[in-house]
Amino acid sequence: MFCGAVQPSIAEQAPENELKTAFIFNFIQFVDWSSKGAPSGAVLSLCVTTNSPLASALATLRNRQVNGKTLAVLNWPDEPWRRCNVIVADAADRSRLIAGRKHFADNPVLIIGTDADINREGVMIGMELVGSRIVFDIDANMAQQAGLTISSRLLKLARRVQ
Amino acid sequence: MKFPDTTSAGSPRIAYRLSWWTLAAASVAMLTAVLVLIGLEYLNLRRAILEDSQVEAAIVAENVSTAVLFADSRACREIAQGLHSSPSVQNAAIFDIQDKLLAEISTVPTERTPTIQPSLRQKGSLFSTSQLEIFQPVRHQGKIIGHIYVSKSLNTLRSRLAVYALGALAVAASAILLAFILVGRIRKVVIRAEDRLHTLAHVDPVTGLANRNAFQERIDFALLQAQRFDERFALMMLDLDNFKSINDTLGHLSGDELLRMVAGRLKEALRRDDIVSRQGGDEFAILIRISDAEEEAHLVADKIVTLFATPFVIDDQEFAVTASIGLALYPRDGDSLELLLRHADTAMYAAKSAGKNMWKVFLPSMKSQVQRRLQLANSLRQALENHEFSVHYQPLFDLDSGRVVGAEALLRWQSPEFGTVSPAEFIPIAEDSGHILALGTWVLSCACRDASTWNRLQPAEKPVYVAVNLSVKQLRDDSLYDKIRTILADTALAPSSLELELTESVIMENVHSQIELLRKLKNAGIRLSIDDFGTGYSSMAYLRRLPIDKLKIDRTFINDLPDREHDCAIVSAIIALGHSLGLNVVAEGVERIEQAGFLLTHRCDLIQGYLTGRPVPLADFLTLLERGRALEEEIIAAIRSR
Repeated sequence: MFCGAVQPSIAEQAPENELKTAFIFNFIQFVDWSSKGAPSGAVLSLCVTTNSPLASALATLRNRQVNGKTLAVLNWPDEPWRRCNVIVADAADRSRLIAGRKHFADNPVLIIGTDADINREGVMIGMELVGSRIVFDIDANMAQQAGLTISSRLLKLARRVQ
Repeated sequence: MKFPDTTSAGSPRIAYRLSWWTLAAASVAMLTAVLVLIGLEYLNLRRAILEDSQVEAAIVAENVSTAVLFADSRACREIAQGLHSSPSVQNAAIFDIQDKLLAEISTVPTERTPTIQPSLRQKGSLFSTSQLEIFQPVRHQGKIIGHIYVSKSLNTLRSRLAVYALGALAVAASAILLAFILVGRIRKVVIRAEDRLHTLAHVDPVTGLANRNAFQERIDFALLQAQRFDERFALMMLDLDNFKSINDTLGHLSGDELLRMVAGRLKEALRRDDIVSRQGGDEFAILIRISDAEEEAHLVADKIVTLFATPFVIDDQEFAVTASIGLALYPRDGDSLELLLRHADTAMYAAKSAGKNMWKVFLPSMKSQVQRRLQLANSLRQALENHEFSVHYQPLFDLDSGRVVGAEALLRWQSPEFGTVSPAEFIPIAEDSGHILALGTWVLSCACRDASTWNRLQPAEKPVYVAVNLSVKQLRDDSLYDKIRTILADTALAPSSLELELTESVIMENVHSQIELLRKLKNAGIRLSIDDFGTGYSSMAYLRRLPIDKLKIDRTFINDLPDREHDCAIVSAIIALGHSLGLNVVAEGVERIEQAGFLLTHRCDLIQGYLTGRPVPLADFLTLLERGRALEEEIIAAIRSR
């Protein structure tokens, strides 16, 4: 039971990006898109800019199964907004995120921030490195407005919940 | 020689020992049951604590899964803190899938990080002597993402088990105590019942003496002892001579009282080693240890006979009770219990036949006597119907007038089988068998008819009376008076021509009731005389009150007249006594002229005996009366000439 673990383990002494990727993978598991315009088909799309430091790490998630769906990793913003179910953003994505905000309102898109700067611009789950630990805050109101339900179990682990 | 005391508990009490064994067995069973219960309770408690712990661990594992997923040690610890509410939890730890410790809590002062033993890993739970360890997977979406480890102290289980064990032991102890008390009670009841049964089986309820059973046991023992040590002993059978009459006249309670008194006298007179027992009825058996001399047994027998010289006082009445004793000696007269008892019995019957109130040692010849007695008793049954009896008459002479004034009716038995049988032999047999009533009535009616016959031939002014003996049984017969009246009426005999002869002992047996009957008879005009006077225990006080007419001096006093001075003194005294009480005095058994001379000198009124006439059949007696004076004068002249 210890060998061949499919799931990325957080316990691994992974570099920060791998760790964040693992967190992202775990977050997705506690979010429910089904209340409003659930993602069609069996694919859950994760969008990230090619410049993102997490891009290569996130690429490893491609085709992984999450809650019965196959994970797809798309380049952002090459792909249209509406195809994204999850957007992983950092400080570099700030202008794009502000620009695209109006599009998010109608689509249930989970926006995950990966540093403190972007988090201030309004993300639903914002990660931050504190010492060697990764902590996260959740803006439950925002998620709710977007039509997403974040599991209370995840909320419990959050540093702050709005 | 010592005899075993069978009246006290000599044998082991089976019930007593049994009850102790039962109790011990019950205790062992109870203890086993308690141990099994404790074992079962231990298993139950163990299972309960295991299930509880598994549920607790499962709840924590479920709650902690997200925290494990995010490797959030703080959250893990917070959730694990919930296990603190369970007091027996010692340690809890949460590991991720790599077995890296995420969180750990400990209620006991710091212990090293728990090491997960391979067997615990395999089984999921592990009991040791002091703790229970649980190792459960933490799952997320069905996948194992870590493990939770909980160790629990078994102190709670132990203390619960201890309480349970104490409780069970207390209950068991109470149950055994209760059982002990109950068994004790039952045992007491059983012992009492045993004692009672033993007493019933070995003690005569009336006298408290050993009964037949106990006596036989003791004799068996005595026989063994005597055989082993070449010792001797005497077996006595004692039978009261006139017990039945007392029992019949006074009732069984007084009869029992008499038996108790006899038992008391016997016990007092005998040594402690001797055994007295009541065989039943009025029969006692006595076992006496003797040395070589047979005379020792004779002395004891003498002593016992004299015990009965003093009358017994019951309800302020005196009763003269005598006993007949038969002795059999071991080993001379038998070497078995049966033989000794039978021979002592035979000797006792011999003593009875010989006149009662005496003892006899067994003699081989007695066996034939007993046999003869049995045969006589058998023949007696038919004798009356077969007309084997006849009445003979012995004349009574008036010494003053020289006339025959009466005759004593004497019963004769001419048996085709045994020839002439003496009344001394068959009367006691008839008394024992009860034939005496019919025989007595027959004699009475026969005598009255014959007297009526001869009186018809006599001058009216000189009637000759007939004297008939009455036995005890007849006197006890309530219809006796009516029977006599009927017979007198039927035979047309004047009541004054009938005289009833009663012995002292017959009258004294129950003076109170007899006096009334005697008065009635006397008032009817019938004459009464006391037979065999001087041999019994007549009370002078009663003699004065009895409505009698005559005293008949016993023949034993007459035999040696006038040679023996003592007899002369007694006879003259009896004559004087009779006269002073206004009674006629008769001497019986007069055979010689000298005797008649002495009696005449001392003014005895009547004589009876071979001198003046043997007992003869009626025809001969009629002839005698007919010849009358010639013979009489001849005798009187002879007497006077002395």
